[in-house]
Amino acid sequence: MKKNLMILAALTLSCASLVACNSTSKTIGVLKIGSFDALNNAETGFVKGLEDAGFANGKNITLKSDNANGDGATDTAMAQTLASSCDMVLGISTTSATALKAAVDAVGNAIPVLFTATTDPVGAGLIKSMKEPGGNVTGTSDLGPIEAEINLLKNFTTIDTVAFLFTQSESNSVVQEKIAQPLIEQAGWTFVSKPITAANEITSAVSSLSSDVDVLLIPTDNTIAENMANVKAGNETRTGHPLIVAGCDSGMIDGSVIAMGVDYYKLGVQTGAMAAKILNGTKPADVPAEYNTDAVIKVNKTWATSLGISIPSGITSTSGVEII
Amino acid sequence: MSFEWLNFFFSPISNGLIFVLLALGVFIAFRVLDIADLSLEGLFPFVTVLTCFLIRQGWHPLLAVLLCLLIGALTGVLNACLALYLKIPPLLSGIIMMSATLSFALVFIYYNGGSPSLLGDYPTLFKWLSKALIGAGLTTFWGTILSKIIVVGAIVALVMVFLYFFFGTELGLAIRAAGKNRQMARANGISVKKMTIIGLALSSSAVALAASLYAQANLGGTAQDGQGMIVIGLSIIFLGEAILPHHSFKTHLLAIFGGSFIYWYIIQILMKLMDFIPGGSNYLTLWKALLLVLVLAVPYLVLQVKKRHAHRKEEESDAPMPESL
Repeated sequence: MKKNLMILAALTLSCASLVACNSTSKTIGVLKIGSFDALNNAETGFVKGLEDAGFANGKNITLKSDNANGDGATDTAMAQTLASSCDMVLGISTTSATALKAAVDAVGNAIPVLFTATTDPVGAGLIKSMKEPGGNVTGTSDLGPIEAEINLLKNFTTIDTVAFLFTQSESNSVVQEKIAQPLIEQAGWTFVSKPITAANEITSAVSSLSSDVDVLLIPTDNTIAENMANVKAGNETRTGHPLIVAGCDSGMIDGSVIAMGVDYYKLGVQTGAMAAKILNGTKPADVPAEYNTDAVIKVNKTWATSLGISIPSGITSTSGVEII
Repeated sequence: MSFEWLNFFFSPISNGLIFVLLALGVFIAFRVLDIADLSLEGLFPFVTVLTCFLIRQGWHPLLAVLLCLLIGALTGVLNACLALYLKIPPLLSGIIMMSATLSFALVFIYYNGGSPSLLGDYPTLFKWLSKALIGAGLTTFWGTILSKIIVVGAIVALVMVFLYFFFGTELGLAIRAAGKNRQMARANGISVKKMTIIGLALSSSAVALAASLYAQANLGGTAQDGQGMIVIGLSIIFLGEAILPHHSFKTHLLAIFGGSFIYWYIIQILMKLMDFIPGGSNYLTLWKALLLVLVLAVPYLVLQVKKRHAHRKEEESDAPMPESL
């Protein structure tokens, strides 16, 4: 009973605060497609980024957060509500961001639309280019730090051929394949594409790679991230030709030699800072879209040693690297 | 802030109209034919992605819709053939068609460089009208929403009139008979197989039409668009049946029409309530389930109470007079 009263009191208070805030401060609507760790961290980071710039929820801004529970039609309906009731909106995930942009276009009030946790905002039609987004949309992409990872791999002097393992049905991985190929070829290495369609193909895909292959590069790919044990098993069978496994997801460290990943919390903070800029009067079109600037770098020295791979000091001495 | 209330009242109308078509498709499969057809969860995103793809390739929106209708019909025919000629249980054949059509959606997304496609500035079935309305002095909001309501409303009216008359023809009645009682239909010389094929083709085309309009109204298509569509379709049918009279085919169609708006207003009210509970939308699915139970159960319970009341009265009047000793 006491608990009920408490909840009731909390509800009344929150209602009162909402009503009180609506009249004075700007409302920011946040829409995410579902409740996953990455998306939740991005949201927490966004709130922190705004706070760092002096915009606190309940004080000078009002945050409205919606979760579509993974349902496309709900996502659309929520986007319509937020677009018509807020002064700025943030879409977390490609689906939510595109729904918000469409809803804002339909209402015709041209409020700023931010996006985060979106891999390819240009391809999705959200913005014209990362540097000059144009229109009322800008934000941060969660594209895996492939370029940084390839630059890090250059510390190995013995690399000749790089294989790229990815799940064909994951659109984010397909986008990354198109980015990785020219970068790998520019580095003077041979590029081998190794698409899979399901998790049960991973072990054989890894073990069947020819002995010329030195590095296995894995993009931000959900299917493979969840099944790193299979990559490990496949690599263990390659006696004499162990692969230097490099993953673009810090969660891939078990089974990788190097894993670099997007920190969704920091990505959220970055987005929050952009939102603050817009709140302070900059036009969204003048705020360039950004990639994650602070990637997490992890090196699995134990695993590398047991495979007989020595890690160049150029990698271990990189700032912020975490050695396991 | 006035947009908020305008949106509150008008977006369920434009959403509801599109979902009438989806619910009619579900109605033909589940109610008329009595087949649990799950293929729409894959067909829906396939059509939304395809519509965007075609329009971005420069197709006229109307042509894109017509091709989507054709693809819907083809899906229905294939689905029925899997069930009828290869003896795959209908539930499973629906699931097979669902995976197949979803894969096609993924293929189109792959060819678009791995991204869902936005329609943005491309032409749609609604834009010519919204431009004309805005040109006539309406605001963007009114121009957009009215163009959706007018165009989709006209299509829904056409489809409903067509379905009403079609299911009154000899062929339509045969389809209904085949769904109601297979043995009896066969005994009367109706080809149940043929009727199932035609019925499922109709059902899937209605779903495809809804999906194509949904993509154009919301200016984009993704592989996630199909999630929860069967639940929405069934909820609309059950809500309509629980609240509105549906004793004849005509009123049944009208009940579904009404059910769609009831469903979207429920969702709209729920979303409004969520504003007052911090983090409330994390449990939206639960609230939706509870509210649906409430809306579905109340008419039944009221009926039961009424019945019991009437029964008791009857008992009182019918009670034999106590015989005096």
